[in-house]
Amino acid sequence: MEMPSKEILLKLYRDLLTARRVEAEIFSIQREISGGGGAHRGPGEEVIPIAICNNLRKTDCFHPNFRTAFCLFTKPGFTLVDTVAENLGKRAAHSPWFTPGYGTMGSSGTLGEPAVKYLGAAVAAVIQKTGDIVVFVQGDGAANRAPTHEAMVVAAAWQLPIIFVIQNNRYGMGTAADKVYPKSILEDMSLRGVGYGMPHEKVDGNDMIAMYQVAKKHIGRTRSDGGPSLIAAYTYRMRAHYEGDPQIYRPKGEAEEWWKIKDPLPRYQKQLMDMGILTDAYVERLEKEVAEEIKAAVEEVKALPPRGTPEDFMKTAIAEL
Amino acid sequence: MAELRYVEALNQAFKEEMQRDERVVMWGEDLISMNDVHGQTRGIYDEFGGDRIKDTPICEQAIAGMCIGAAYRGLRPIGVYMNAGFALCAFDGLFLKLGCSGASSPFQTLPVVIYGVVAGPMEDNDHGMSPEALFIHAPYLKVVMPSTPYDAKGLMKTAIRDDRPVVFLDHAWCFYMGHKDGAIQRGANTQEVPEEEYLIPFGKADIKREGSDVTLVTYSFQVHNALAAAYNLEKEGISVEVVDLRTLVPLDVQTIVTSLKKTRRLLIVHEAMKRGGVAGEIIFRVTEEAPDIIMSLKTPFKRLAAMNLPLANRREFVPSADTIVSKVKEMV
Repeated sequence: MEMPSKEILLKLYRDLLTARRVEAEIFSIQREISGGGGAHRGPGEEVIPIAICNNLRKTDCFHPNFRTAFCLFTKPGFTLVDTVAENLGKRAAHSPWFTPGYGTMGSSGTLGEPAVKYLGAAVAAVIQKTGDIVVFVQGDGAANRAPTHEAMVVAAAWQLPIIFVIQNNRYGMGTAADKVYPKSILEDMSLRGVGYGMPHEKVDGNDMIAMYQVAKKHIGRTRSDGGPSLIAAYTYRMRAHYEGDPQIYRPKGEAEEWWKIKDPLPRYQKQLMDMGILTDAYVERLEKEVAEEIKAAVEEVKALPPRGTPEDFMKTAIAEL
Repeated sequence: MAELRYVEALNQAFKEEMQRDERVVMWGEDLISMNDVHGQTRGIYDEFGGDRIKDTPICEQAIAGMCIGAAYRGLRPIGVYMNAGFALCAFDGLFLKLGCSGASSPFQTLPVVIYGVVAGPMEDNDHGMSPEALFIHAPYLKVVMPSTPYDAKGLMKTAIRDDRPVVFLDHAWCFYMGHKDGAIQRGANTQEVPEEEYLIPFGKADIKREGSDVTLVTYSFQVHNALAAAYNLEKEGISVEVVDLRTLVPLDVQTIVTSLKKTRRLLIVHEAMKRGGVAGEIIFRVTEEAPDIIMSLKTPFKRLAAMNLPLANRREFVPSADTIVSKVKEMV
C-alpha cells in the first residue's frame, strides 16, 4: 500500500501527541472537579479514530468507541476547544458527540445501539445522494450486541455506504474477548464479515501507518459505491473499564507488559525517526506547542456557558412537566 | 366526499404527505411485498419508488434506529411495525433513544413517526397486545390512537408534520369493523372523508356521542364498543357521553373535566391491561385539573380494562360492548 506523504505522517503524529496529552489533562481536571471515579479512559487506543478521521470529510458520519471520544477533534468540523468543552460539560461552537450536520449523532449507554442509528445516516446518504459515508467504530464487547448484527444485515442487504470497525481492546467491561469469542475468530474478528457478505480486514490498531492505509482503502472503496465492509482493528485496553475498577479479572502486570511494547506514541515516534522524518528537536518543539494549545483551549472552555441547562430541557417538555 | 374505509383514509394520508414533502420516507417489514398486510401502503411503491418506501429485513431494532439516524440527517422517516408488539423488540431505540431524544441537545428536532398495528384480542400477546402505556411513560413521545377513518387520516398527517417523535398505533379491528345500530359489524367503520386537505391537532379529544349520565372516556377500537354500549343503554334510559381521546400524549384533560362536570360519573375503558394502564394516569390528571370534582361525584371513578393476564386468544379478557354495559349499570 502507498506510504502517506510526509505532511500526513507528521499531522498524524501531532494528532496522536495532542490526543494523548489532552486526555490526561481532561482527566486531571475531572478529578479535581468530581474525583474522576467512573471515567472510561482510553489512552493507547487513539490510533484507530485518528487514522480514520484523517480520511473523512466534514459531512461524513463517524461514531468513535466511547473510550476514545476525546479524539473527535481530529474529525473534520470539530476543534480541540469543542472536544475539551464536551468533556467538561460546556457548550462550545459544536458538540463533537452530537452535531448531525458534521456526522455525529450521539452515542448510547447501551453500547452497540448506535449501530442502527448510524445505519440510518447511511440510508439517508443514499436517498439524498450526498456522497457522504459512515464509519462506525465500537469495541469487541459492543460488537456482540443485537443492534450491531441487525445493522450489518441491513447494510449488506442494501449495500449501504457504511464501514463497521471493531476496536478490539481485548476486554468488554470485565469479560476478556477470549472468553466470549470462539478461537476460530479470536485472532481475526473481521472474519464475521464473511457471514454478513462483506469485505473484511484485520489490522494492527496500534500501528498508525497500517491503520491509516487500511482506513483510506476502505473509505475510498465505500465512497465509490463499494458498499459496506468490516475492519477489526486490534489494540489493548490500558486502563481499567472505569477508574476505580479493581480489575480482578485481569492478570497483574498484563497491561504494563503490553504498554512497554505497544504504546503507539513512542512506537510511531520511533518509526518516523527511523524514516528520517522526525527529530528529537522537532518532538521537543511539538510537545511545547501542543501543551500551549491545550492550555489555551482549557482556558477558553472555562469561560464557556454550561451545556443543556435544566431550563433548556424544561422548555422542551410535551404538555405537563 | 368519498366514503372510505379506515386503511384507505390512512393510505391517502401517507400519499398526500409524501407528495407534499420529498423528505418523507417509510420503511418496515413487507410494506411493498404485502402492502403492510392490511393495505395501508398500497400503491406507494408504484407512485414514489424504492428510495421513498423500503422493505427491511426482519430487523426491528434497525427499523427504529434507522429512523433516528435518517431524521438527524434531514429525512422525515416513518418506521412501520407490522404488529405493535414487534416494536417491543426495539424498545431501546424507541424508548431510551427516541423517547428520551434531546438528552444530548434539548432543542434538536427529531421528526420520526413510529407506526404500528395492534392486532387485537383474538391474537397472542406478541401480535395483539396494546402497548400504549409503555410509550406514554417516555418524556418525548406523543402517542396517537385513532378510531375512525376521518380521524386516522387527519391525525397521521399531523404526525408526519410534527418535528418531534410520534408513536401512532392503529387497531386492526378498526380496519374491518365498527359500531352500527348497537352492535359491532363488519365493514361498518367507513366514513365520508373530505377531498380537500385537513389536519387534526393533537391533544383535542372528540365527543363521539353526547350524553348526560356517564362520561365514558376511551380510544382506539374501544370507541366502537363504547358507542355500541351507549346505543343500547339509551334504550334503557341511560345517557352515555363517549369521549374519544384520539391522542394520549398530549392528553385533553379539559374535555374530560367539562364532560364530567355535566355527568358527575366517569368510566375509563381501554383494551390494554389494567395495572399501570392509561386509565390510572387519566384519573389522576383529572383530579389535578379539577381537585374539587371528587366531592361532587355521584359514584367513584371506574375503569374497565383488560384483566392482568396474557391475551391467550381470549376475547373475554378485554372489554366488550356487553361488559361496558354492565359496568355502566353498576354506576347509575
